[in-house]
Amino acid sequence: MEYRSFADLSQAINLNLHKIPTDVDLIVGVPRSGLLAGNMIALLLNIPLIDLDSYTNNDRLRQSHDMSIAYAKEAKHVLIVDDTCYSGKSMGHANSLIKGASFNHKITSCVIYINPKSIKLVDIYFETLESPGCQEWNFMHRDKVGQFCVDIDGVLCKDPTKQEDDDGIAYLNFLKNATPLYLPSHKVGCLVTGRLEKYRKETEEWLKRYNIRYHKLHMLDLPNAKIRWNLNAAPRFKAEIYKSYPHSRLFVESDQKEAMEISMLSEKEVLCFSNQRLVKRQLLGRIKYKFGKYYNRSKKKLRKIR
Amino acid sequence: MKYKSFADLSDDIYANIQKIPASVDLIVGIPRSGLMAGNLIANTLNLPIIDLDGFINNREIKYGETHKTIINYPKEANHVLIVDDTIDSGRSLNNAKDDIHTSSITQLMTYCTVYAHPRTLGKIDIHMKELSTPRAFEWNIMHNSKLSSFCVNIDGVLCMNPTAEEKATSNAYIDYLKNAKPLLLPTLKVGYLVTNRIEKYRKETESWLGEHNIQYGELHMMNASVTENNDYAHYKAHIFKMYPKSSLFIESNSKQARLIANLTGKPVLCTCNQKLYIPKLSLAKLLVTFREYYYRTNRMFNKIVVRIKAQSKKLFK
Repeated sequence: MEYRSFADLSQAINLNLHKIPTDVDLIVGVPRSGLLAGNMIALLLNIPLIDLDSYTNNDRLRQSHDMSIAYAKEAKHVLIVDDTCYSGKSMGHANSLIKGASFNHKITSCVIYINPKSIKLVDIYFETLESPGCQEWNFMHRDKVGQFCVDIDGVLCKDPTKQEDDDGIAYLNFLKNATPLYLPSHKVGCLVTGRLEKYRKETEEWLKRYNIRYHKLHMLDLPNAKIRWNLNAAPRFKAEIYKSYPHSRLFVESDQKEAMEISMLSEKEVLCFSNQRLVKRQLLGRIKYKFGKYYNRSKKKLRKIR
Repeated sequence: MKYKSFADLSDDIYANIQKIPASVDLIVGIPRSGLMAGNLIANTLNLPIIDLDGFINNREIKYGETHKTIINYPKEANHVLIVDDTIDSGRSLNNAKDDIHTSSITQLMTYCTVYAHPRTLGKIDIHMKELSTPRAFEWNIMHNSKLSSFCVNIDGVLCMNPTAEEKATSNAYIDYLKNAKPLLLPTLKVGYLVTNRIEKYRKETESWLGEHNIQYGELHMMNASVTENNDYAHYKAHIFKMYPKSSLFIESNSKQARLIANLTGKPVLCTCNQKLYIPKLSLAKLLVTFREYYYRTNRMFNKIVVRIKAQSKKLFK
């Protein structure tokens, strides 16, 4: 699975800025995520930006800087920007719209991430991506999220603070009124959380309140939070569930350390939400992890013998 | 000096996304950098976004192919979030407010900026992060009036670095100098251009700069004698030090950027990884180099102490 964050996008643009012709004087973004990439390019080159609709309507440009052109029609060379291109469907749609407007200026199309098959469809591309992959700006809003395992605390809602995490009244209050963070717009594959089974009712209520649809909700079956903490059971539980779904391709986890552990144990890819990095399957890391376990065990034994 | 890149912007928005009220159902971006920030917020919360003009004129909202439609026209929204990237004097936000007031829109409106100066906090409803001046952003560093006090490198910042083939022969190099591909072109006057190109290529360099309409205060080029030592960073640091009012050096190479920062004690921005090298690092570097000496002296001191103890034991027996 290929994952691209905003930082990756801005870096790709920075590295390939020279591919854009120097006489471009207007950038048109294809809504919505193409507008984002177009915006980055427009800011770096200090060129006016317009979205596809205003462009075809020949709207007046509103810019904070003093720009040379006032209407879209006056531009001499236009750059049409989209973020990704796999089948070329949305780019083709954009092209037909532009042809309908029939302005007589030069038009160049530009795509940031492209499938090698559809390279011929565009004039400029920045990076090739074999598989569709995921982008930070849309992966929670595509139907692919049906194949993912998603953690609750730190992804769907804010993590509890230390005072709230007391396994008592304050915690119940937190479960009821947790502030939502990133809500998926499609049905999620399964929700895997380190919350205890006894809080299932509160959790389900909260999920229903925010219209989160899911296939299954897996919760940790342990008597109390202290035992969970002592056993460090959460990452092992998450990895086990993740492993039991062979079709599930991504686990979305908020904590960096836990993401590492889950990827080691399940031998699959885990996305760490807090730093927007994909933790890939690494051989060396796995060996280190296993070795560390044996090392700790043998250390304990040695101590006993002494 | 504080520097924020696009990556920092998205990180800061992610970290503070819960500050946005849950009832917001439309995001309005103030062009262009506010539209950028608004886009990031809209993408994470999966809300529709429109620019200020579209909002005032009640233009139809367009969605991408993969996003579900919620509302079709801005007038249908109940709670609107108006986003800008920064607030400094509050002028652009005030202009936006005036435009909205004159168009008699009656929805609930919340004004939000990602970065706010501590003294302007009262002017807005929500801010993601406080950021005091001096500050610079990736999206306006080359189009900022402060550029007239900056030192800027040419190769790798204003134009592409030469490839190994282009460096090989003098003819190919002159050809490269004439037709170098531009990268980030400043729109305002640059303070000082500092390059490690040799003085004898001044004519070609100046003609290239003229061709791309780059205004500059002074162009510093290297002497041939210095080039033999390959001491680029020291040379750049020397020039950067010459101008005490110059507050930032923009460099493309990360290694050289760090060295220049350490040598001059002033911040250096590296464009290849969008990192600001702050001279605080020089202290850390000093510590590393002196740690070895520290350990050595400590060991010697311990030895002496042991010897003195042994001697004193002998004496007091």
